[in-house]
Amino acid sequence: MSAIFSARDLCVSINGKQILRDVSFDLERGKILGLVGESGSGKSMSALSAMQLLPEGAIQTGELSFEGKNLTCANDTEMTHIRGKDISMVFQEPMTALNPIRTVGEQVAEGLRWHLRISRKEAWEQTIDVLERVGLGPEYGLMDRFPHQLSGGQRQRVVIAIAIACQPKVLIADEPTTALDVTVQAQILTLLKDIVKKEQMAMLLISHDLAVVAEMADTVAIMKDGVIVEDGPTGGLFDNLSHPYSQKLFEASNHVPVPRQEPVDERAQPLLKVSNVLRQYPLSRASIFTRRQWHRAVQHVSFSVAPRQSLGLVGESGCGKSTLARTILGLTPPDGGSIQFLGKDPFAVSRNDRRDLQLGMQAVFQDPYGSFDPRHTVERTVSEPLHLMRSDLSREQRRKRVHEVLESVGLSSADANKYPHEFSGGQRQRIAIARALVTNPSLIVADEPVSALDVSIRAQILDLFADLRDRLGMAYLFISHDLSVVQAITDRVIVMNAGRIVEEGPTGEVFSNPKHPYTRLLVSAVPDLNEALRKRRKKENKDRQ
Amino acid sequence: MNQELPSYPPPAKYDAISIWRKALRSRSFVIGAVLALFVLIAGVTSIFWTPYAIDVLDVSQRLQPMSSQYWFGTDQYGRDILSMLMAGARTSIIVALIAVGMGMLIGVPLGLLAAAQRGLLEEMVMRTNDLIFAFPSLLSAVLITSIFGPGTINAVIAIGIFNIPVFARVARGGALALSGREFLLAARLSGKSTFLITVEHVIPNIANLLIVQASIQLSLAILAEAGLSYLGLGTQPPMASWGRMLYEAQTMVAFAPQLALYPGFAIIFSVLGFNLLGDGLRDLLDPKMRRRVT
Repeated sequence: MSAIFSARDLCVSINGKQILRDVSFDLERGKILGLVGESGSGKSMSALSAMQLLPEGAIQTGELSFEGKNLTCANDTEMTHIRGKDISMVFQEPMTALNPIRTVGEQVAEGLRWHLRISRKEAWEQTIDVLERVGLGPEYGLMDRFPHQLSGGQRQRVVIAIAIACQPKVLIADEPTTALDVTVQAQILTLLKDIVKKEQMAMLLISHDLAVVAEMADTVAIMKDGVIVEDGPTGGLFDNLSHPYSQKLFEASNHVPVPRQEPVDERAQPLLKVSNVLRQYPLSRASIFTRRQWHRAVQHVSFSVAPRQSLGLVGESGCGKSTLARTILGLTPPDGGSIQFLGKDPFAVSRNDRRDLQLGMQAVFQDPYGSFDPRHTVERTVSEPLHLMRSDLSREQRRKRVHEVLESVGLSSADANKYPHEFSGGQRQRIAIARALVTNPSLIVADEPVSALDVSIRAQILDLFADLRDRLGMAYLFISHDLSVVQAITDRVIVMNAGRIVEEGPTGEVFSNPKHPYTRLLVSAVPDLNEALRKRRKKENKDRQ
Repeated sequence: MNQELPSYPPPAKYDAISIWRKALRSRSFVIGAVLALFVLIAGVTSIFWTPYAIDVLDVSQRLQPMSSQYWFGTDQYGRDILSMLMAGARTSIIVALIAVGMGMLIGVPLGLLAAAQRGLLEEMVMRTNDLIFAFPSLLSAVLITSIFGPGTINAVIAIGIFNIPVFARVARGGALALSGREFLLAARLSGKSTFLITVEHVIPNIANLLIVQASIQLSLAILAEAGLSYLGLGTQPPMASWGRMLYEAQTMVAFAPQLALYPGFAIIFSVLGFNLLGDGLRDLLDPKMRRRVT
């Protein structure tokens, strides 16, 4: 079968910096090409280049052909007709891809009317049809709704509806499910796959997630630093990865840190005991005469963490995990129930005792960019928690301690005088861990500590967590939406849904034999690289026969 | 969520040389800085030296045209206009600096307090701000100076009061925008008090906003001082003031229009200068607007 869209030797440079080098790929009808790579590898730029939507100052060479037409020679007017009609795109963040002040129906109909030159009424009828194709039938009554009234998954379906409304021949999806919860991701991926098969579109799927690509794509191209290092049919390619980078990426995606050496004594006096905690927020009142409604972000939550234990807390966005983390950390008091750390309630003791408790509990946050004051050096940032120590350390002692922890997280003491912007995302997360370690705490609360990191960096940081656990004997409360991360690092796991704990147990047991229906749904929705590859191989073998 | 974060702004560089280079490329910054510096130098020089004394009337020399002796000529009382303009620059700058300084010193702590405490205190501070904002500022300045008597000090106070809410709002807004950032949470976990966090983390991070606002407020204060003096409520003779010069030139406009034009241009240039300086600084310092510079 010949390609409907092909790129040959695409090179793009922006302000003299080479972004893409000799990128070539073909898209065929009814097939999905997966483009994988880490951030900065040039995958999004490849998509923009294919759409001829490159940022200002970009210089492009090479050839892009669509149905035999050379797009690099097409002028703006011609491209406008092709974009959206013949080639269209699905973006990562459904909320920003939709216009907040126009209804769903209007937004889908707009493209139809513009490209097909049909009447308002015809467009409206087709819109109903298009929404039905993406699984939003008239029973949802979405035509007159605004984007903010939709759930994240529905929004992404609308974005897909806009993209496929004119029955394009090529669909480019740039991280279409990265911003979505894992259960929603599974639905959207199935939808995209069905559409491609049914409507015989050619699709370019861009993702950082090898498992997603393995599940979806017929052929895969692996990108690094603007170059496609390896490509081929999915099953065959993953069986014989020849390029060292793709091997590294594959290993990192499957990476599990060294398991714990000594068992945890679960009967010991718990380090942290959370009993029946309630946390609620007032909702805005409809009028001053109605009673105020409360949103219960966390309710009836009880669990405990034993010394040296690492406990995972999983759940989808909005389930209350971060609210709970902030309450445990003492940043916001609970509205009911109690928290005991080292046998004391941090909200019931004197200020000085609270400081002592705080010494034993530190945190690592998600965002490696937002967790540092950009104006403070690493030394100043890392030494910050030393304020908690009432016995005043001398300047020298402080500096020594900072250097010590920097070295224990794999940085050098020379890094102490640098500023956060001089470090990469993974290094920053090491600095954040160093800051948490500086007071020698017995518990670290880690709220999505690896979610913003690329997969190879993620593997390194998980190794660091495991290493510190074994070396320093710390307990972790590890909060994440990513089951594979929690599976890799924790002994026990708690599953939360809508502010409540739905299941708790030893990690292996919960994941291999989930009891609660929600846990079962969650576990089955996670894309599994090895499982996907097994299926893919079977299919490729069948095709060959 | 599991998002890569490639859309973050490039890491801010606080290295003095690169900012300076960018500054010299920004047209509004350069023009603004030159104009502002010019006014500043004229004002400072006038403290030590003016070509002629400004409080000596010499009727024999009145309404002289431009000459090598009197660069800009003399007014109807025989005073040298260049000397008057220089002394006027001094008055304008002193009034503006003190009034804006007063607004900053009172407004910024109030705004930060409102952001840190929230609740009732915040409501009180911000609603009082709204109340002051609701009055046309020049009109109320007229009210204040006419009650407490005309004079430079009362003009400073009247202008200063209207700078308080401006800075309170900017400070509160900046602090609230920072409040969700994880480094502030981390600082709280480090056991720092709200006061210490405000001083060490919040103020340095909103300093950009405050500097930009201050330079814009300076231009407005110069304008306000000129307005009050024009109405006879600001600076009193024998001190020189651009507004006062305009007022005195009013009766002579028909046959000596240059008397009104000189102080008029002085006001325009200085207001324009500080305004452009503020715009230029905003482009340079405010990360949200940074893209416009390059």
